[in-house]
Amino acid sequence: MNERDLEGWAAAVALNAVDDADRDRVEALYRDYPHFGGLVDRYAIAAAELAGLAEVAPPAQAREALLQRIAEQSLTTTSRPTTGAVQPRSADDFGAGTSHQDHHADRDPAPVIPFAAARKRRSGLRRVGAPFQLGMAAATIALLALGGVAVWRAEVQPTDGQSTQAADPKGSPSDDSAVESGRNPGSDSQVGSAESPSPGGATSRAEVDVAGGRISLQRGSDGKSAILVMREVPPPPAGRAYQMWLVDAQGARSAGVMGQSDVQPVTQAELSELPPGAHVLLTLEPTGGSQTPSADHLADLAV
Amino acid sequence: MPHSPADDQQAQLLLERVAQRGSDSQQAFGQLYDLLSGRVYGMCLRVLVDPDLARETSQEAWLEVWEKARNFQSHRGSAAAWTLRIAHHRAVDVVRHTTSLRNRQAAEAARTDAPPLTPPEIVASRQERQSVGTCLEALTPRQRQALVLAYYGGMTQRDIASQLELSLPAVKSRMRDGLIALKRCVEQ
Repeated sequence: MNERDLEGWAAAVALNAVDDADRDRVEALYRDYPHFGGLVDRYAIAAAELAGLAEVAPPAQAREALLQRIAEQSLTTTSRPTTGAVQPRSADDFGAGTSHQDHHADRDPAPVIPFAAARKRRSGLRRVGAPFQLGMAAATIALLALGGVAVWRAEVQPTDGQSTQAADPKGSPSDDSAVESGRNPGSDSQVGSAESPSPGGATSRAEVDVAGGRISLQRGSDGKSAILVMREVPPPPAGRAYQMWLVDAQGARSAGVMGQSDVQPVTQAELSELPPGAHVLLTLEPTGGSQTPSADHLADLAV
Repeated sequence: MPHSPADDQQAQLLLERVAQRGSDSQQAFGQLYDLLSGRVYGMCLRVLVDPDLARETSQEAWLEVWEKARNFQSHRGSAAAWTLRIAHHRAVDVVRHTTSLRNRQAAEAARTDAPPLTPPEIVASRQERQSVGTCLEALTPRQRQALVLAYYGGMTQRDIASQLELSLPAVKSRMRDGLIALKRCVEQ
């Protein structure tokens, strides 16, 4: 692709004139042409000039309503840890981004995705900007479908290259029983009843509301395992996938990708051999997943 | 865009205070809102046509600004451009998924003869706005058409190519050249 074509794409992205059909192409441009993001920024500055022509004072009450929402948001948290040991990560935990990672995180105005409906419902969604490092280790994952419950198992290989013990191949009894008993997996009562032991016996849990559903992370007593459960979280939109990441001091590494068909009313992932202080991050990525977490963070839960 | 370098500087300082999440962050956010809300809401209104939808969308955009303030990097552009980009993305997202393009085009066509914006709602005219308007008018009709359909119409390049019976490269070329010319003109 010559520079002129590249600039044409940059202009289209800056004007939000690309659609799902362009997503893979645009992702490839960001990946293959390091200066593409800068081109988009430059055209976006020019595009923003056009907003000045449409300037209209908003309704007076809009300001007060907005500031009230901000104040409320500052006072409340969307997560409800059941013990003090597990705390969802706050956006304030992250410093201002500096380089490529944050550049990537800030280019979400690129392809517009059909996630508006879900976005409207995710009143409790945490959107955090995380300047993570590149993943340092590989992760493998297996998916088993158990009557409406998608069970994932992630085996994380440590950065020293030594293989680790695979997760127990049996599904978690907690959500199997929840589905079999016919309880509403999205209700609060279900959440309460879901606190059965995770591998090794759970000791604490963190939860976050996402897109009208709920994601919980239940830690095992061994401190090295956890179960992540997604209840009533809608499948990702076309061309997109959910991707799990394990994040620790060494960076973020993928722990699996969930496409549209993988997401069930209850979707569960078992994580083993977790590094100390790890976080589990769920992001929205292009189909097939990404090498690094994008800006579309759906949940960020501390183990 | 901020209407002067001083506005630009002020917006950046306010956004940085918001990002710091200090005791005055909410106050700074309110001041940033006062500085840019006319452009954010006006752009949303222009794209979405429906005032209620524009108000809701601009509010969501402002919440995103609050949440993502730490992501702002001044070397990549002004605080206003960053804010407006977030808002435009949201407006386009909404318009593509809540309203059919046909309905919107019909609404646009219905108001063609009306004043472009309701006078009492319009913020006092500013010289910079006139400047941008002059620059937009100075573009070739083809460039202007492509920019207006994309930015204010929320249309994809494929929509535009289809409507104007052009190839995709031709549409991209018009958008690219239009933005370059607009930027040069505004900076003069």
